[in-house]
Amino acid sequence: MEIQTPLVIFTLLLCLANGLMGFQGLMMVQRKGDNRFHLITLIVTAVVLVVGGLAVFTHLQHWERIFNGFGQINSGITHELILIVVMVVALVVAFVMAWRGREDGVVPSKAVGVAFIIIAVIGGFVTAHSYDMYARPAWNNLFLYLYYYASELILGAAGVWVLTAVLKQGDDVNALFGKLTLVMAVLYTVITVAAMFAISTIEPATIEGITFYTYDPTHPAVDPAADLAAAWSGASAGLFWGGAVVVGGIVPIVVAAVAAFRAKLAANPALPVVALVAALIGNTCYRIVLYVVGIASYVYFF
Amino acid sequence: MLDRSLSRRSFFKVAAASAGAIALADGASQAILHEDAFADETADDEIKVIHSTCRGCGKMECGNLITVKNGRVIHLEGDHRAVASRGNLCVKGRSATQALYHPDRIRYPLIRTTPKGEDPKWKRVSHDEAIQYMADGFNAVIEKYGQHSIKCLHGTGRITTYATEAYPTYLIQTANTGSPAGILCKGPRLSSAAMICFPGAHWCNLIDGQKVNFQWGTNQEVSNYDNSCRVTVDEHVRAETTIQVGPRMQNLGKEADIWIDLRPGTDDAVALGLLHQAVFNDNCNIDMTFVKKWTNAPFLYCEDIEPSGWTWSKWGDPEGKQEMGSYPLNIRTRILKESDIVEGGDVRKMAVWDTKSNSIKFFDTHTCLWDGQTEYQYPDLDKDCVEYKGGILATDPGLPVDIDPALEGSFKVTLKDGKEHTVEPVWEMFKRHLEPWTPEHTSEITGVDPQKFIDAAEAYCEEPGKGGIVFNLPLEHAGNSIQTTMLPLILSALMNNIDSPGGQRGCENMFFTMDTFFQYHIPWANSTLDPKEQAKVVGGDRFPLTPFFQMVGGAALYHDPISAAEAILYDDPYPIRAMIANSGQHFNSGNAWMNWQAFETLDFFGGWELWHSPTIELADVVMPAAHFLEVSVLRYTQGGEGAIGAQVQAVKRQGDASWDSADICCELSKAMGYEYWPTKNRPLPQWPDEWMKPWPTEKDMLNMSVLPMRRELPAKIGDTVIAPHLDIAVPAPDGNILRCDDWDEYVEQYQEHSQWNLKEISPFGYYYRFQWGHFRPRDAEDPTAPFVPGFNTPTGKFEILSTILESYHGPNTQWVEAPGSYNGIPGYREPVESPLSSPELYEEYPIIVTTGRRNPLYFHNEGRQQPWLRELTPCATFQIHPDTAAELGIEQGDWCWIETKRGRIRQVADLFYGIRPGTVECDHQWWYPELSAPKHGWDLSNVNVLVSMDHESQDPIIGTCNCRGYLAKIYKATPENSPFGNPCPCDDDGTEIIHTATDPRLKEWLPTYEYEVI
Amino acid sequence: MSRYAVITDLNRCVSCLNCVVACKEANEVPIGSFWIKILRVGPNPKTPTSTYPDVEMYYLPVSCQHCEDPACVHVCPTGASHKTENGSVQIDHDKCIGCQFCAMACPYGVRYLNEEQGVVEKCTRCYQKTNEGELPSCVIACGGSARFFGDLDAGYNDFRGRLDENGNNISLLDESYIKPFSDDDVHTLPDSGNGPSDRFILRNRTWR
Repeated sequence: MEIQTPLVIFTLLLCLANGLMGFQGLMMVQRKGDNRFHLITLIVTAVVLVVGGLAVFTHLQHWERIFNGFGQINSGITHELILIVVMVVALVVAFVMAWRGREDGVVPSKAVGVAFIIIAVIGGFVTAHSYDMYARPAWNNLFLYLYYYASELILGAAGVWVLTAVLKQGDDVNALFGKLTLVMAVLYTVITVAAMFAISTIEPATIEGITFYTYDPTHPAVDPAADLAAAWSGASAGLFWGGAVVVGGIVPIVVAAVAAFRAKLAANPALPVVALVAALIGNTCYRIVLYVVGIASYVYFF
Repeated sequence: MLDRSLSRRSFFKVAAASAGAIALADGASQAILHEDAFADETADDEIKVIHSTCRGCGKMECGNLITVKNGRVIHLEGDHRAVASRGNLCVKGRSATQALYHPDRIRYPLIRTTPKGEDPKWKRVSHDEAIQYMADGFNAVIEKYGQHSIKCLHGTGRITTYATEAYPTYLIQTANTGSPAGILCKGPRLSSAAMICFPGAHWCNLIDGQKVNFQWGTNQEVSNYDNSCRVTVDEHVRAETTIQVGPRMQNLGKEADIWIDLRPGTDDAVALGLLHQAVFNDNCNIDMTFVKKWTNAPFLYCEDIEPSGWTWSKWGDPEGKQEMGSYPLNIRTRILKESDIVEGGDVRKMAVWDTKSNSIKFFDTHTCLWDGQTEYQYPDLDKDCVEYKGGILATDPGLPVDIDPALEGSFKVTLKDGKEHTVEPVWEMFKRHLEPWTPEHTSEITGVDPQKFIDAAEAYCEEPGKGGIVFNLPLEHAGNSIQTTMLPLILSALMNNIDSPGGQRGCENMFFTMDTFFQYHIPWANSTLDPKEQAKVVGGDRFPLTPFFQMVGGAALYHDPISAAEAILYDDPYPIRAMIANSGQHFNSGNAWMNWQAFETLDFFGGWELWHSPTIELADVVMPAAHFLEVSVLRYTQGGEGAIGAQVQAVKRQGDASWDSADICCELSKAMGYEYWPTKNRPLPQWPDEWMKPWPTEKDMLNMSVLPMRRELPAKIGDTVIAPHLDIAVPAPDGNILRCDDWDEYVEQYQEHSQWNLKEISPFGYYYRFQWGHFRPRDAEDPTAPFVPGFNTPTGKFEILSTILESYHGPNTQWVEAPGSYNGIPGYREPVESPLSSPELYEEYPIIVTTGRRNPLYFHNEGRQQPWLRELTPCATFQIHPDTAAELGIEQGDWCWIETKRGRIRQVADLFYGIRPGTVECDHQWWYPELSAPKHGWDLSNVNVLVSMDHESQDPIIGTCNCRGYLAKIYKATPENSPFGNPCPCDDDGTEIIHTATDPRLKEWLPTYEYEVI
Repeated sequence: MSRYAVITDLNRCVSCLNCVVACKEANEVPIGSFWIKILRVGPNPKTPTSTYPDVEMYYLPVSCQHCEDPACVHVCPTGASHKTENGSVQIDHDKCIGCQFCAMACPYGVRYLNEEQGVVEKCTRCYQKTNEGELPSCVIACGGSARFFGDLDAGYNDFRGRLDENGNNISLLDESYIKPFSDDDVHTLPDSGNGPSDRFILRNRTWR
């Protein structure tokens, strides 16, 4: 279906924010990172959320009615909105905690850290769930959820690694995140490849012999099988393999591998920045591709 | 008129503003859940619903209901009470507001300021100036080149009149009158049926229902021609058996029990194959009474005598009188006549062999009486008749004298030369003619499974009276128009379906309203051309029956456009230098490029139009035509459904829009210096003096159209007391008569009643009207003149052997022999470009092209600029079998070149299993209004670019061009082989055509109300 | 509670497109967007080994199915998309924020964004007419007299179509219009648990 750019940006940044929170929570639980680190990370996460939120606003036609968005409690989007509210609350709580204790180098409490992790875990599910609809067979499966988690994890790991490196949180912390990034990048690569393979094997509902009147006669877009396989081997293969897999997965793997076992390198911000940027690009490509293969299950009204 | 320099965008802004205002004010249009959605309607709003008749197409006459709010049409709906259409209103009628309020409609008179062939850069002028300009232009040409140097062009009369059709004949006295569209649409059917029974017999009254629903080259569920979609589907579903003859699986034909999927152009072969079954298959039961009593099948024929005969004329049978309004034909036949047997015998008496007395008996074709018959026989109202669906249905009382004419055998007769000759009934010749058309042979020619002919014939011919055969355009388009359109009629006649319930009823107007001429030709009426001048019609040398066909009227009023183009281009046989057009197009008949190039060279071209169609962009002056919602006129169904009603003007005319009959033709005539018609060239004599108002106004014309219904008719014609049949006080079968004193009263009654079934209110509400004498004209000035049973043909019979065909296109004449015909019995002709007739050509051009399928959105070239219609089929498509497409490397949605020896066009491929591999169907009449003047992209996709102008390809009797069933080659359009490197057709500046529903240009065509007059 | 539905006799539908234009006019649907579309299904070979002319075809009018368990209602964050008492699914334009997730969630793809108003639109079963006891435009306008509107809960008996000459709506069970049909002849659009309401009668042809 048509690629919804604002939504791509929104979910990308939401995943990034979720990932940042999750790994920041981990650090809180392990009592790692200094007060300044946590404050700045909280601010960064908040900014990411705000930018993502603005992206959503450009997608909405009636942004002024945004508060209607809590009208239907069962809707996946409502859940996302609630998630964001919860995230903001958690960020504020943690921020207040850290701000108040900045003189004393206070790190937000373990409880807050656990809360952050829980939010990140739930967040991955919620974000994926809002797109899980049987109208889109490419999205209506386990791989959607796996991907969102993988995305969160790679973006979060790489994101936090950038911050630990830039804010000089110490070699062992940087090395830890280098390793985490490596593991997440591998996970991400495996999952995205497996996902697109699975999607390409989905058997679409047959549309043989169905012709449409109200379309552009010169572009009959009906070939659901080809659309489903577009990323794996079709028209969007370049975007998928090149962008999502190589840039989004292989590059972070290489970068993280190099840094994971050389503490000195892990502390160099250049590496995590490359990893993060690559991951951002890769995840963007994947989401775009997810729209490409996101055809309707019954091609009646395209 | 707004300054032409105002850009399209400004119009759009204005339109959008008003459309927006409507949308907001009209709460119902928003899908908002408000209970008081209609709250915007205030007590000051004036809303009325007008019962009218639609004119969105060529005369189905669907009753409609027009909602007018504060002087603006806001909604159209079908009228469920309309007896002919049952509430039908197709998409063309529904979207009429998009034409009425279209931003690009021509609303003011325009004169061109550039040479023909360029963008005209029209200059707006006043109505009077335009009329004078036109008058001067035509006069100059006529003065220099003579009366026949001006020709006519029109399409289907979208502005509800055919004034142009008859007006030039009537007043200007040119033989080159009528509609070139007529020669190719309906004209051949009217003409061929006029030759053998009565014009328009192809039209069936489907509302009566049929036992066998027979769709032959027709798709009325889409075309509404001349049975509405509703009625067609209703009766198709109710029929016992359904048959479709056509090369494609059609919208309703998909349900047909038997699909005769013929090769395009072989309808005549199919008909002969079915006739063979009817005659030779024991399971087929022909109505022998009908054959013996009402056809010329029993007439004896002698092949070894000289053809002889008399001069016959259709109207009033004046015995050779060169009377205005009729065209004399020299009938020369080898049917055995009394004059062949004895010297001085009556040439009009034709011989049959009576098996009862074993002797020759005669039928007098002048009086239509058999030997020994002293008075005319009519069915007995009490004994023979029942009432059926509003009409009187009679069983045939049988032959009026005690004879049994032989259909078979051969007999020896001594003729006036003293020698013995062998004679045989026409039926024997007919059988011999049909013998070769076995299922296998027919299958070889048509490509259809042989069993289908047997099945179809056994279903249709199981017993007489199963219903008529509806056959339409395709039979006229493969170079054998006249003969092919006679054959299904003969099949129907053998089964006694001529004017039966659900049978071939023809057009009601011949017999009731008499105001045919007023309605369509107000008041230009009948041709009053001297037959000698009429014979000078262009193409008359090759098609000598043309002047006769012009007398048949309706769409049979035409001249051959190919001959006309030659006259324009080469002054052959004489110069045609001017043209008068009523929304006619250069691409509806003949070769489109030839016509375009010819029209470009005209000295003067004037016309009236709704749209800036390509052809009118060649004109010198154009007048704005009124839309049908702006015009009132009497309406009755052209086809067999038999209903009468009214089209009622719903809104005031925008700009200077005119109704051509009243506003244009009258004024043009005055400006050209003509006197009014009664002074010199009187039309049909029975019109009373009082009706001949000089230069009638529009109101006068409307009143004239309902004059026959007046309670008190004018009593005299000159000094003669009016003949009784003119006083339509002859009661209708059940006593009901439609009466009104003027147009307004008629409209009032119509609002109350909706359409009237003519069978109920007409004096001629009978079936089998040939039994009652309602198919033959009566002497208008003799009140005692009888109704003469039979048909208005030279023999007075339904002619299985057409004596007109025999006389003019038989073996012994100076004109081209009708191919395949057997002494006047219609036969088969292979299209000139086909695998069988031109195998070498077929090798290079291996695709058979048919065209003209109906799309519900478009009536021929109309509708391309109406958004609700254009968005549903934005560009020209062609249907091709997937296997053929695969062979050619073509996929769904590809632009492809379709090329014949004449030229090439591009259309989009639509893969379709329902057409034979190797055959394609290309959409017709495409042009692209969004492209620039003057061409508006007509040459990009228009299928008549492909049509041949060779004389050999035309039907030899009438001249219809061969516009279906010819050979082409098809290949994909690529950047390498396409202009601008773009497979998609473009304007001269590279702008693409609209080919998707989301093209923003479509929104520029939404209605504008800036010209409306409240 | 009722379950309003439209039943179409596909052996009568001839793709006259009346329903598309009537709907467009009655509901001021923007140019380029549609509340109902007519698909041409086929011609297809009757069996896998058939060739021309053994082919079959039917037309399929597709519009919002006003599902029993609509996916669009589930995903709507504002509750603008909601199921009503009479079984139809409506969009409250005052609540809709134009997020278009409902359009993504509809398995038949019938929803679209009205760009001028910034809300999502689709077939409303002509509620403005049915509330007054009239029939939806597509049913009244149908050229083939093939569409019928009624309450599934009340049975086929309840289904009414176009007007006859006396101004009465014809009945789905009137055999002079609708030939008899068996349960096997009655089909729905593919169902993923959403329960599409409309029914399609198709005799002697393979449903695809």
